[in-house]
Amino acid sequence: MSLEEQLKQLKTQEEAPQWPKELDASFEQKLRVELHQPKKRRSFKWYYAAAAVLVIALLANQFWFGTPEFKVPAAEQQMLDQIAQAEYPSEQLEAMAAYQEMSDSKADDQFQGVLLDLLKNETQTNVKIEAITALKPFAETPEVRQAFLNALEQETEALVQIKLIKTLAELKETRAADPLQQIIADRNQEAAVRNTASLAVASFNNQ
Amino acid sequence: MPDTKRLIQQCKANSYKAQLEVFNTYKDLLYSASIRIVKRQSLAQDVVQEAFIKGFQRIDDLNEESNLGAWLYRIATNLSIDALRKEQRFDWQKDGIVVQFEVEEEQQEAEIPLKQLQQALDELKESYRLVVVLYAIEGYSHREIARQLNIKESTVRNQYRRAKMALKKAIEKKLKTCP
Repeated sequence: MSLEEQLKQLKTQEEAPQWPKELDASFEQKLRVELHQPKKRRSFKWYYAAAAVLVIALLANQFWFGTPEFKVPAAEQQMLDQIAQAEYPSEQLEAMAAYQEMSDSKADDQFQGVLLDLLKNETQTNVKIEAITALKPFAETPEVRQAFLNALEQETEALVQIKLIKTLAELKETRAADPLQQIIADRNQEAAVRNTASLAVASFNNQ
Repeated sequence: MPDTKRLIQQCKANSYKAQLEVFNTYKDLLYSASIRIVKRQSLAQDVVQEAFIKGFQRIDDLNEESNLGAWLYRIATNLSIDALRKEQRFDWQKDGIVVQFEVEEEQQEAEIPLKQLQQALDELKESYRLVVVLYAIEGYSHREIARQLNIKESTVRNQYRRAKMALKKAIEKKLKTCP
């Protein structure tokens, strides 16, 4: 038998490594996050009504008084409050999406504040991941970058850690290098987190 | 045997249940392939999860009559190579002048115990090990390996020939010390 034929036998050897069962749950969660996020519903909801009221209020204000005022109107404030206080994560995610759809302002301090608060205090993985995604357009703000760095040091949920690491790598935020090195050296961290951290550090080194 | 045609149809409809069934059917197969390439368990675990997600995202490209397992397997092996490339474990430039490859007949060898063969393979330097694994075990062509690793096809051929010689030496040494 040739060496090649003998090598081929390694592919079918009986002692092939088995996928670790304890990682099934982590894959199921990853699958949900990547492919089964709740979609934006088109049904008529309170926040669409609020958005309509907001537009009418702004137009009426301009009509009667001539000059538009740029303070946060009550309806908009109510939407922001609802994002922060919604009882269920799915409601929070929907409200966040609706607000983003309504307001395309990148300098929206109020929205940014709500998102930063979610990143810091929220316990639901999906909501935190969405908050990070929504915060990314504000990444030029030093406060947002610092919040990402702080969250990286404090976060313990693997999927959120991975999202943070990938975001910081995309932002080329090299101040993350030290906390990432700590994650790589920490054997208590999940393998996927440590690997993502390794790739991020490698991307910094290649800059 | 799973009904792969049904599974592909359901995965195209983004059925969570079907996706988990696919994962449970092929996870060991993909994991063993990835570990052969990247060697590190933690990296292989990451790669396999990524391979399934990528597969489900691209499932519309797959014909319902196709071999789902083989298709996922190829995604996993390609991602494993990508992961190694990103880690930059190799420096192909150091491997010297590329020599002309001559077609040589496969020589018959005495049967080698699989354990010793695996050990000898694992002891090869990383670039040699990878080329042997991809070409002789995973069935990639020299051209495919070159494309995946972004190196010349002639370099792959050259590396493979050298790797084979190094592997034979390592096996001989092993057989001498452990008769």
